[in-house]
Amino acid sequence: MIRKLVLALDDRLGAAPFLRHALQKAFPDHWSFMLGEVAAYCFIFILLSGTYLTFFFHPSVQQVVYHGAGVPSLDGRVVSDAYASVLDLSFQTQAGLLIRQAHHWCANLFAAAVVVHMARIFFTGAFRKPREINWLIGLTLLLLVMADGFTGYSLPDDALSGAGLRIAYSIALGIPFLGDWIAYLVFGNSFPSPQFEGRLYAMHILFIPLALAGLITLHVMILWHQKHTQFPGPGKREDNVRGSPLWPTYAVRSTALMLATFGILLFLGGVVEINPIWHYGPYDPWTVASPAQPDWYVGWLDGSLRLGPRWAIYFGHHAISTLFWPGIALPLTFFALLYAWPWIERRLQPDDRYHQLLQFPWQNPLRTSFGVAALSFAGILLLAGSDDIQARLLSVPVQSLAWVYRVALWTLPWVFAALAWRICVELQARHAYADEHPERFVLVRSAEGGYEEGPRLSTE
Amino acid sequence: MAGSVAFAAAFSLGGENQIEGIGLGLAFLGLSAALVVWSTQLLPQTKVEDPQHPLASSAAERADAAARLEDGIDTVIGRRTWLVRLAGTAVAFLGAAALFPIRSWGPSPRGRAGVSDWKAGRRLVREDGSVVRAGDLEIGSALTVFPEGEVGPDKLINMANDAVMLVRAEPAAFELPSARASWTPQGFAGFSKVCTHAGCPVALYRAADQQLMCPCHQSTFDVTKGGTVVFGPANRSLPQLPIAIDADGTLRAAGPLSGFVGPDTWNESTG
Repeated sequence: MIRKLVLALDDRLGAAPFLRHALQKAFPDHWSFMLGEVAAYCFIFILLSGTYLTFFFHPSVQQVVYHGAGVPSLDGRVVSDAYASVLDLSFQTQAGLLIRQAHHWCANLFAAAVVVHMARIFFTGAFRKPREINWLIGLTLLLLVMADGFTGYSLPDDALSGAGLRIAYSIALGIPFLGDWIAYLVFGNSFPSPQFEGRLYAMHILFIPLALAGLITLHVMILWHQKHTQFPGPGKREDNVRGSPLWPTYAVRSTALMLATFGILLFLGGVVEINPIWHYGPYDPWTVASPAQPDWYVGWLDGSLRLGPRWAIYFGHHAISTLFWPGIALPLTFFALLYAWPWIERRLQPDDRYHQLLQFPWQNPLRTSFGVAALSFAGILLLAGSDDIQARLLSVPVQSLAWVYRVALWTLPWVFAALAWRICVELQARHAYADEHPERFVLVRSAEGGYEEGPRLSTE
Repeated sequence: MAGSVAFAAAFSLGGENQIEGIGLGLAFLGLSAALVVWSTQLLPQTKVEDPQHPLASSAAERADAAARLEDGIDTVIGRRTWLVRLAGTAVAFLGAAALFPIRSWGPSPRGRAGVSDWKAGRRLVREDGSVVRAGDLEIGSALTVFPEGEVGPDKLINMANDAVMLVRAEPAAFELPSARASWTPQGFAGFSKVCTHAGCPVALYRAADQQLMCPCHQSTFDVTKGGTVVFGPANRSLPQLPIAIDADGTLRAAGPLSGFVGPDTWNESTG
């Protein structure tokens, strides 16, 4: 049966050589190589769960009267059709709440998987020649995931996400030269407007997923063509890649990972409440939920806005508002540095060779220090994005906390980078010492307190 | 398998979300665990090795590809500069023509930022349209108000920029510039509810120190000093609404909001 199918395919496509080769393809055995796969499986899950949600969601901000047993406290209230349809799909639709919550959890896991995967790629130098193109695609995928997450959680038209959209609208209007146009294309002539919901929806379910699908395909095709990198080790060289064969070993392992990802998301979707819009209430432009936090992957931008300086520049009726620095300049600079890093590193450490073997983070203090600084910078912004909650928990004024974060933002990344550099150099020295002194022995203390030389060991 | 059964049972019994989630989650996790066991215990742990070659092609192939691309460009463009210019002009015209349909996507946001419907004489009403009277508000409390006639589900866009936080403080607590001395009769003070930082509603009123705070980014404004910034990323005061009180206690606006409502934009600002 299978034989017949292979023959039939080969007759028509000449696929046998490819298949034979593909089934034997080597996949390196290291857990960190599976982080990107988690992201890929999140994409599959989010497409499937999202499709289910589109059956029931109404992308319209037309005002309707909510009648539903789901949330008795809102019965009879005028809300948007979008908000009402999310309540209905949560409470009146079979498995609706489960799928909606799992979809939302998946967005959070998706972004996390991409970030952790990229951290692995960065700290091991996997982005080096010939893989710079996939680093650029990966960063673009991260931006798209963030954009899809933001447009997605903004769809229910609740009081929390509505405030987020109002902020996004303000930032868009503040973009020099293009502000009016960008705000107008995304939101219409005002916020709220009759147009924005439909446009967000088109972005969320059509344009961004299409771009994601295209770029993920390209990402994997390039990966397939260039083959995997591998950690240095016995028998691993720059001119080979060793690992388990795709079929059957790796295929089974990867399928297990996919099922585990789905399982955890569905479990979370069932048990752990997320984005309870009936607690926030419907969006009225003069109301807001408090405390107000976005999802984690937008949190660093919210933190950036909280810590932003009061600088504004006026000339004529034009303005570069206070939103420009934390809302536009900072994220653009941050991502520009990440996009440019492969070339910055090559400028600082001239090197035009191919690299199939990875480095351990300690082997390149410069890169590791930059990565640690960038991660801690974003991390401090993320923490600052929930400083009001921390202030409440710690019973300190939020003002003091904001100042702590302002100082920390511009000092701690340097401290962490220096620390990382120091640790890298220390580890390098240790490895160099071990390489020079491959012989080790064990000291054994006798019961009388004397020491004796035990068996000799080698480091490998 | 038990998980699948549990999910099916929960689903058919009318869907208790938690049980559905636990059942379906366990079903997937169980399958996953089985595959892990299978792959580690039952499958042969063979290793394979692929060769890793430099990806660059031979020098001849590279040169040939580049030459073909260059030749093609030369053949198309060559010395025919006027044809190229013509083509460029045609594309530019197409781009310009495309701007016209874009214009039909709706009216421009220009001219809308910073403005509100507040005028002298307009009565203050709640979200539901009911008129606010002096007796309705005790000292130390706050209320969101709109200009009369501009409320309702079809007026959300107006309400977004018109919302005003009406607070009542001890009349003696105010330290306003002399031009605003008459704006807070009986301690009633009105401030635009649209934060001058990013446009969030400045919804938190703390009577203890007479501050208005925006929950989005913690910009904080002093009620007694005319809405000046005391903390946070906002760089401008909240616009203040002058209040007047009729003989029967009805509150009215004594003038428009004192400044540009909401955040500055590139094209429209206080400047």
